Amino acid sequence: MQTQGFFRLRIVNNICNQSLILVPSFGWNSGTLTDALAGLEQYIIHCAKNESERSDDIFCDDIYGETPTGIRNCGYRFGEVLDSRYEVPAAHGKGVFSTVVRAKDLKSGDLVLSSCCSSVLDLMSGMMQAQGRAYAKQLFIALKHLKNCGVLHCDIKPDNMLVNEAKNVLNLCDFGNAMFAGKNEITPYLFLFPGPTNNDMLRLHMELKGPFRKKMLRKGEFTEQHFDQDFNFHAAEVDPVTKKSFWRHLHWSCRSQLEVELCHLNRKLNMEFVRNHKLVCSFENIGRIEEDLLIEVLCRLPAKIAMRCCCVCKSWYRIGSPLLCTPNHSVPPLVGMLCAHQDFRDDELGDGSSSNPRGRGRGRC
Amino acid sequence: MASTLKKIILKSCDGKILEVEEAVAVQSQMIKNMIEDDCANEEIPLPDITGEILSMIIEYCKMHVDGENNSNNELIARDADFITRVDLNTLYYLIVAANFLNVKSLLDLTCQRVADIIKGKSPEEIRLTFNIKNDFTPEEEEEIRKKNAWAFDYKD
Repeated sequence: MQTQGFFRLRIVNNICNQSLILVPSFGWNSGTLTDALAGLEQYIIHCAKNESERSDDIFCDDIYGETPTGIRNCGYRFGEVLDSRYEVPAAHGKGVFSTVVRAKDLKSGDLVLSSCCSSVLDLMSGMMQAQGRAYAKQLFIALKHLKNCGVLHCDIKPDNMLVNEAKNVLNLCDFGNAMFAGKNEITPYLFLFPGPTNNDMLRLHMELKGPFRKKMLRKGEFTEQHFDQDFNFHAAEVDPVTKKSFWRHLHWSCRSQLEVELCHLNRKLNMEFVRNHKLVCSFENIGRIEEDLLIEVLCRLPAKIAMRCCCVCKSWYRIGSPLLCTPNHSVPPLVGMLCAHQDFRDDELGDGSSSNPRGRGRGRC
Repeated sequence: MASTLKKIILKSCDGKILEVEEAVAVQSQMIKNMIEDDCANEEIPLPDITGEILSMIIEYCKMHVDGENNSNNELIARDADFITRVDLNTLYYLIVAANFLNVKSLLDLTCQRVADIIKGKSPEEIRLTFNIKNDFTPEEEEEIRKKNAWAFDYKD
């Protein structure tokens, strides 16, 4: 059972007494607002505009308290009163994880939902400067509010900024990925290139994968922050003695570390091969062919012949068997990788006896 | 067109240097990428490809560039002529080099050639042809044959 996730559903704007209540429809899955709002008019969570006016219950789960188990598996009925405070006059629909209801604050008599018509994403083209400025201001207010609440939104993007019909009020929404700051671990997938700064991450990325294509850099928006005008990368480094930061130009050859190492290994193998080569028959090297190339060869064979190839040796079996072995021993596979690579005609489960010279034209399509 | 006359310089692992027209060189996706990235202004070292193989590949690429206007059938016939002149040993190096240089049509051609050689051969013959050691025990091999009986009835 996930117990986190509920707070994210409510951030109360105490000025207008507006809030949104997202109620898990069954189980205790973390509801995502996006889910719940799918196909509906979009509703949002208002943020307090003035933090001095916010009360203590600004984001805590004041309907269900700490343990939400009591509301598991229940649907909400019209007219039901939650926590003797919020009345539910209407349900607005169900998402995959949760239900959205309209709620009325009985103490103040205000509706705790407001409707929105479009996201900032839809408005992005043709937005006026003043409009953008107004939105930015409201967004910063929202961010400040989140900071005061200690909430990480984790999914701020234009899609998640909704504006009202008059297009003058911007609201930050979709707290489906939100969490309390400090209670969470750092997102793990960032650790592929674990640099502390963008510059560092770029360096690590290029060390492994080689430099970025210049074509790509030319289009990049922040390219000039990390690359000079000739698209040479400059790494930000700190002098260990003076503790001053400086730029250092780094160059990579056209090939990445990965490629160079592979190449090196390949060459070593080839050398070894050339040495042995004098002693053995000249045909042997097809047997040494790399696996991805062997697949290229096997996929040009009819299924039956490819299957026979599987018992040539273990490495060939390893490649062919997942694609060709069938549970029913007497029946060939219906379709497999073979058909994906080229069109098989009448001889597709073919007779192994006829070598077919017309075959080679087929793979070209 | 000035760009098509630009020469790309390729250097094989045994030090042979070949000048190739850009139009021919870009048949290789790898070299094409390098040209786009402005990395092809100096000679391009190809540490895994011998001069002999490299000139064969260039011959092939030239054939395709020159034959662009010819009919598809004619091109297939030329391809067939090209590939049947190649012995198995060279074929291996051609596959590796075509893969490295990313010349798709040549990789197709060479792999299809190997497939054609394999066709019509029993596993034993394949091992003999390519000098592959059978690392299955007789029991293991028997089991594979039994489990995939559909492929091993030689009746047809």
